Amino acid sequence: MANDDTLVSFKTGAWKSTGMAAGYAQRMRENRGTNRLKNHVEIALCRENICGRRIVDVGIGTGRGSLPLAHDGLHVTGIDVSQAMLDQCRQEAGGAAIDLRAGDLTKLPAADEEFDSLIALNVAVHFPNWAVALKDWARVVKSGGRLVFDVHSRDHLNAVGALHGCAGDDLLTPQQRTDPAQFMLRVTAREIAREAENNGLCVVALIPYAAVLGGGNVNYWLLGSRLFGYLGDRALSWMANDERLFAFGAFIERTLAARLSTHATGRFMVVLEKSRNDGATQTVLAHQDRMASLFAGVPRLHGLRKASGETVDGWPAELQLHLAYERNRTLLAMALTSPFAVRLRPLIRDLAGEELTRELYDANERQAVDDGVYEAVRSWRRPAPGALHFKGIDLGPVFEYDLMREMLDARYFSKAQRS
Amino acid sequence: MGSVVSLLWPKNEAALQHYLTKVPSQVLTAASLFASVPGESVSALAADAKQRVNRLNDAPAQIEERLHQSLVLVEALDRAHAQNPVELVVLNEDVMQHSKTAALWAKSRGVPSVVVSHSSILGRLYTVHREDNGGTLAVFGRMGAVPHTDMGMPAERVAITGNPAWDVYAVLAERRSAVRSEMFARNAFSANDHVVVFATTWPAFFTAFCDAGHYEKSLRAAVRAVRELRDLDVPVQLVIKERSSNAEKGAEREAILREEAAGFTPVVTDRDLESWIVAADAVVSVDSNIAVEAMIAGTPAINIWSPMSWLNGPYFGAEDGVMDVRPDDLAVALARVLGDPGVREQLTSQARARYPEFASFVGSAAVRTADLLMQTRKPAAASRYVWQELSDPRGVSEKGRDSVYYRSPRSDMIARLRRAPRVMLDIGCGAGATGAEIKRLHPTAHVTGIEMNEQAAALAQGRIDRIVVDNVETLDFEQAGIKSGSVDVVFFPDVLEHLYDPWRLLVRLKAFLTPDAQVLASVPNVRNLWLLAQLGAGSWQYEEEGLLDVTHIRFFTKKTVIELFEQTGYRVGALYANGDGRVPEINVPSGATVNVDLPQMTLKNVSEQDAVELRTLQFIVDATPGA
Repeated sequence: MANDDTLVSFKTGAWKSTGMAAGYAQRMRENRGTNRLKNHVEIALCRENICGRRIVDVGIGTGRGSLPLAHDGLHVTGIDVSQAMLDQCRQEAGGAAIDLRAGDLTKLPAADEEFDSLIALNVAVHFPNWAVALKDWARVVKSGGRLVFDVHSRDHLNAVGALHGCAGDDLLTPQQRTDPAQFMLRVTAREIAREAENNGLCVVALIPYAAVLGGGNVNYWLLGSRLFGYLGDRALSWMANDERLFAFGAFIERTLAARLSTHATGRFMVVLEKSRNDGATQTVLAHQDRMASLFAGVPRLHGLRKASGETVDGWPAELQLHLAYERNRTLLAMALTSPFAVRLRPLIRDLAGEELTRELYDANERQAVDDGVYEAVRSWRRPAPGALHFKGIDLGPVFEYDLMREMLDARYFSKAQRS
Repeated sequence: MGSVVSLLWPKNEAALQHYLTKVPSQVLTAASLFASVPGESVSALAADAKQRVNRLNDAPAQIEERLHQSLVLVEALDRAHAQNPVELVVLNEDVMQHSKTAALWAKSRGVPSVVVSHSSILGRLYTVHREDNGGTLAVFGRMGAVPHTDMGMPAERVAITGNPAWDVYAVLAERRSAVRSEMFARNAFSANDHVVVFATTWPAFFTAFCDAGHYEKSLRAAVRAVRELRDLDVPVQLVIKERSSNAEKGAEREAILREEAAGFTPVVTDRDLESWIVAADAVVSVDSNIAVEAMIAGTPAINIWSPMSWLNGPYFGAEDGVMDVRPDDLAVALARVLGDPGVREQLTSQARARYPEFASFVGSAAVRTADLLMQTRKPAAASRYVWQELSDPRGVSEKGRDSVYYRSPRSDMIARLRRAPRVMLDIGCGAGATGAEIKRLHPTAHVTGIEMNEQAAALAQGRIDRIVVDNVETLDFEQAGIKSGSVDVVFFPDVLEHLYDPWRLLVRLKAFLTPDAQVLASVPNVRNLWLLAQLGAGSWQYEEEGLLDVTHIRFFTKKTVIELFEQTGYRVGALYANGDGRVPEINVPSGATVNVDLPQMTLKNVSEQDAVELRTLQFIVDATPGA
C-alpha cells in the first residue's frame, strides 16, 4: 500500500532530530505523572519475560527499556534508525557497556540467531508493516529465544465499541483516524497469533496493561466516567508524588489488568517464543476467550478465579489493603462511574464487601441525583411550553439555577441530614 | 452614543470602565433597568405572570414572583433598546436568573453578549453550568477554557482575557515586603510570626457532588493544624478569610474556633484578601481559585483534599505548584512549607511556571477584557437622525408614549402653587399626570389641559376635566370654551421654548386671567455649564429631549426669561432653579468670585449667583399679570 509506505517513511524519519532525542531522554528520566508508572510496568514486563543474556533492543531510542537490563549485567545491543537517538542513548548509558547500531527495524544489522531475546518498546505501535518487521526480528533470535514488544489492542477498542453500539474505530478522534502523525497500530490477539505462526513463533503470553496510565494510553472502558480524559489524567498525575497511589496504580496494572484479556486495556505486551508450540498459543487464546466471555456477562470473583485457573491467590486481600487509603478509593470510585461499571458491582462486592462497595458506588448515586434533579428543574414547564414564552424568549431556563439549589436541598441534602 | 447593559459584579467593573473610556455609552444596570419600567406596566406584568403560572399545573414555589421579575427585565431591556440601541450586554455568570434573562434577551434580539467569568472553572461543569446561552465567554486562562470547549462550546466564542480582579497582583507582588509590614503592623503581629491564610469554602449545592460538611471539616482542620504548630512553639498566626456567602455561618465558625483554637485568636476577615495573600507565608484553601491567586502572588499554596476534590475535578494536577493534603495531614504540610525553604522553593517555582495556564495577562486583564468587549459590540446603525423627528409624525408619537415629559407629574411646579387653583390651564399637559395630581390635592380645582400630541392627549382623557387637542399658538381660547378673566392658575411645563412666538401668547393669555392669577412656567436654561462646555468645544448637538431638544426654537437665560414676562405685561414674583446633576459643584467663597475652567474656555469672575445659574437646568418662573 502506497499509503502505508508513506506512513512508514514518515514514522521512520520522525525520530531523527536531536530535539526529539533529548525530549525522549527527558521523558525517560523524569517520573512525571503516570510516566513513572508506565516506565515501571513496561520495564518490569521486559525483565520478567526475556530469557538469556544477549538482548537486542529494537528501536532502542534513548535506552529507556534496556539500560536497566544493562545495569542488571545483561549484554545489550541497541538498534535504531536515528543516529541522534543512539548518540543520546550513549550519553544516558554513562559508562555501561552497550553495543549500538544504526539500522532499520525491518532489516536489522545483526546476524541470524545472534540474540537470546529481543525487546521493542513502543515501536511496533507506530508501524503498519509490523508483520514484515516481525519476520526479521524472528531471524535474529535464537531458537527457544523470546520476543517482547507492545501493541495497542484492537480487541479492546472493539469490545468497548460494542458496548456503546458503534464500531471500535468510531471511538477514536477524527484526527486519530486520518492524521499520519497520530497513527497507532491496533491489533487483535488473533492477528498476533496468526503472524506468530507464520514466522515459526508461538505465543507465550499477551499481557494487558495501561488501565490507568492516562494520556495517550486511553482506557476506553472509562469513557463516560470521571476518570476519562484530561480531568482523569489530572487525578492520575498525583501518582508521581503519592507513593500509596502509585502502589495502587502498579497493582492495577501488574496484578489486576495483567490477569485479564486483551479486551481489558488499550495496550498489551506480546511475549513470543521462537519455537513450534501450538499448545502454548492455544492456551493463551483459550484464556482470552474465557476472560472475554466472563466480562461480557456479569463477572463474579469465583468465575474470575476459574477463568484464570487460580486456586490460591492473595490479590483480593492486597486490593483491600490498597483500598484502605482514601485517595485510592476515590480513584476507583471515579473509574466506577463508567456506564460499564454497573455490571462490575457484584464483583466489587465479592472483593470489597457491601459497605465499601456502597461507598465506591456513591458517586454513581450522586450522579443519578444530579441527573434526576436537573431533569426536574426542566420538566415542570413542559406541559405548557408557551406559558413561559415572552416576546419571543423562552424564559423557562432562567429559573434553573435557583431551582437546582432548592430541589437538590429538598431532595438530597436535607434528606441526608435528617437520616 | 449607544448603550451597554452591564450586570457585572463590582470586582469586574474595571473592565467596563476601560471600555467606556474608548466607547462612551449609556450604562444600564439591573437597578436602572428595573426602575425604568412604569408602575402600571409592572402591575400589568404581575398579572401576566400570575396568569402564565396558572397555566402550569406543577410550577415550583416562588415561580410567579420570579417570572414577574424576568418579564419586567425583558420589558425594560426592550424599552431601553428602542430608545437607545443596546450595543452590548456584559455579565458575570450567565446562569443566575437576571443574567440569564439578559443573556437570552440578547441572543433573541441579536445583541452580542460577553460573559466575564467570576472564577475559573477548573473542574467539571455540572448541571446548570453546562448550558450555553450564546454569549462570548471571557476566561482567565487556558485551563478555564477547556471545560467549556470540552462541553462543545465553539472555541471562537471562548476568549482568554485574564481576570480583571487579579490585575492588582501585578502591583502588590512588587511591593511584597511593604504589604507584609503593613498587614503585620495593622494586626500587631511580631516580625518572626509566620502567617497562614485560610480561605473558607462555600458549599454551593448545585450538584450532589458537594460535601455539605466541608465548611466545618476544612475550617476545623486549618485551626487545629495551626494550634498544633503553636503548641510546638512555632510562631504562627492564622488569618481566616471568610466569604460574604457564609454570612449565616457565624455561630458555627465561632463554635469551631472555641473548640479548636484553644487559647489563640485567629483574625477573621472578609477584607483585604489580596494583601493577605501577598503578605502570607502559606495560603490554605479548599478547591478554590484562591490557590491560583497564591500561585500568582508567589505564596506557597496548599489545597485541602477531599474525595469531592477529585470527583468534581480535580482542580490541580501534581505539577501545578499546589500542595494537596488531606485534612489530617495539614499540620505536617504546614510545618514543611513554613520550615523547609526547599519545599517552598519547589512549590513557588512550579507555580511560577504554571500559573499563566490558570491566569493569563495578570496586570492587563481589565484592558484585555475591555478589548474583547469592543471587538464583540455591535455598533448601533445610525437608524435615524434627530432632525428626522421633526418631519416624522411617528417620532412625536413615540415620544408621547415613552417620554417622562408626558408621563410624570411636575411636582416641582405643583410645590410652587400659592393657592388652591379654582380654574386652571395646563398648557402642554401631556398625559395629564400633573393635572391629575392637582385634582388629587385640590379636588375642587377645574383643570383644562391643552396638548397637541394626540397620543398623550388620549391618555389624559378622563384624568382631568377637559382636554383641548390643539396647538396653543394658534388656538382661539374663546372658541375653546375658556372664559375671559376666569383662569387663576396657568402652567407652562417646558413649553414656551417650543413656541415660535411665546411673547404673543403671553400677551393674548392675559385677557383670560383673573387679576391675581398665578402663571408658573418651567423654562430650560441655556446658560448651563454643561451646555457652555459643549459649545466651547465646538458642539451644539440637538437631542431627542433635554436642554437641546430638537424641537426647541427659543432659548433663554435667567435674565432673558425674566424679560420674557416683564416685556409682555407680567410681574415676576419669584424665580426658582432646578439643578443639573451633570454640572459639578462650583465652590465660590462668600463674596468672592472664581474662574471656571472648561476644556476649551474659561469663565471669568463667576460669583455665587452665577454659579447657581450655571448649575441650573430649568428655571421656574412665578409670575402674575400686571406691570
